[in-house]
Amino acid sequence: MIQLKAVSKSYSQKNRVLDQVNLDIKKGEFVYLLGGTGAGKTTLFKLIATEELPSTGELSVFGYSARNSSEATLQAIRRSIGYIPQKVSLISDFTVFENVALSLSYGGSRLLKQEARQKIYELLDRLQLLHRKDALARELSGGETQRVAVARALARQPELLIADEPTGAQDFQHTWTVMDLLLRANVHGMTVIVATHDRDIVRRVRKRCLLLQNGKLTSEESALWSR
Amino acid sequence: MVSLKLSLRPWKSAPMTQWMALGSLAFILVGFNSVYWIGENVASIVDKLEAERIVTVYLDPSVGKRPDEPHLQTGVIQDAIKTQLGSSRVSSDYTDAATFLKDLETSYPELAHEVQALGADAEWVTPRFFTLKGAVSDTTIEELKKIPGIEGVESSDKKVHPVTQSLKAIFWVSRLFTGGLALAFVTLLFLIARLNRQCQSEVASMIRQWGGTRMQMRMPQVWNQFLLACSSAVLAIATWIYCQPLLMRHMGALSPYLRELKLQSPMKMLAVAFSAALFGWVSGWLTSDAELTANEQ
Repeated sequence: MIQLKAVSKSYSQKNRVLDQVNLDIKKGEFVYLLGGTGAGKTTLFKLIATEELPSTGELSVFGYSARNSSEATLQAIRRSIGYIPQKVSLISDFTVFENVALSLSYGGSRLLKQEARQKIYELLDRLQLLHRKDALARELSGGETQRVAVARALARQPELLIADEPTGAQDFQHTWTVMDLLLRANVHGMTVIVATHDRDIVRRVRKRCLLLQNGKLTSEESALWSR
Repeated sequence: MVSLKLSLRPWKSAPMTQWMALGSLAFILVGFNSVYWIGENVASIVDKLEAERIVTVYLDPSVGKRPDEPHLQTGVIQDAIKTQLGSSRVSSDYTDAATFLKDLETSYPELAHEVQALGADAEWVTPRFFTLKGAVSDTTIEELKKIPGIEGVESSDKKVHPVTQSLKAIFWVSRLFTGGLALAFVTLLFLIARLNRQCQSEVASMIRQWGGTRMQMRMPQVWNQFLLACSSAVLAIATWIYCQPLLMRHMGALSPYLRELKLQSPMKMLAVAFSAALFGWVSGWLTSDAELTANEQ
């Protein structure tokens, strides 16, 4: 589903954020991406989400080369990806419900209006946000904002979900609420890639781990969680 | 509908700025329309004044006093004048001695009494003349001078010349202001577009992330600018419809020539509004976030 062959990314000649990364993620996998601050996790996610293109190397998503695809193909790829960025941005003067519904308007959702509404309510309920559905995004706490971003990404029912530290601002209870949702989505066939610093999650839910250090994928072993 | 809702975000985040911009744009449009309308009307008045002149044809004092000379009769001279004028649209009025004295009595009663005191000799000093109003050419004036019984011909050319020059100056000043105000309108529209872009760019980035098309990315900003320009045009038209008669009255008080100003046709008002809306659309399109290809480095 996702293939990276010798992918490098640099924003300036001196600063190479990703260095010769090789990676293959198959459909339906659940993958953790681990690494310290500045390791290149967010950049890798931006490449996979086709927000940016690699400086060198070959990246293909859903079998399409990111570099050689037309703008229309890239748009179609993006419609199949749910992306929870590290720095979540919601539309501050829209309500929680509107923020989630908005992504459906542009995401090419096939859900009918009533179905979509039901799906959003269901997600908000699971994320313990239903009572806040009419609150403006600017009135939310950091944790609530992050959970709205999770709901927004999942509501579109993407084939691939990329979550950049989706539990970073959550307390213990909400961390597992979010993880539970991501795992359920994975069980239903969604490919999920999660970047996290939380070793507790990695230890409890044992999945494939990737370790990124200074832009290099230094370790790719399922037993990483056991360290 | 979603684009439209997103386009109104700047009105929520910075309502005062948007209202001020709307008011300023409407004010500039009213100013633009006013000076354009003045220029247009002044040009037609200048054309009219230049085409029309008032020619006074003075009769010789001996006309009508010698029955033995039939060609020196008022009626015959009038026919000769009409022949010279041909088919041109020129009105002709005859002022005889009695009418002249009556008019003189109204304006200068003492002078009128002095002339009347001359008795029979008054006829020799009281002018009789034809007043011709319309498009009279210089050649015709020369031909009129040659008609027997005509003492002299005076044209209003020299009297109107300073007026037409002043009106021409007003015309060029109005054209200058029209251009300046159009530029001010477009500049302000682009400035507010750049300001609103800050608000719309994060939305554009989200739409891109969700797989939205380039058009979908642009639309919130385009709608915002289009609606702003349309609202300002509607406000300007309403203000103009209300203020135009007042402006006409004040302009008419400045000079009798400006009493001939005509109301602007609704089609021209609509053309101005349409142009404003078009510029709104263009400003939105050119300033919308068009991150069309993924960032490759």
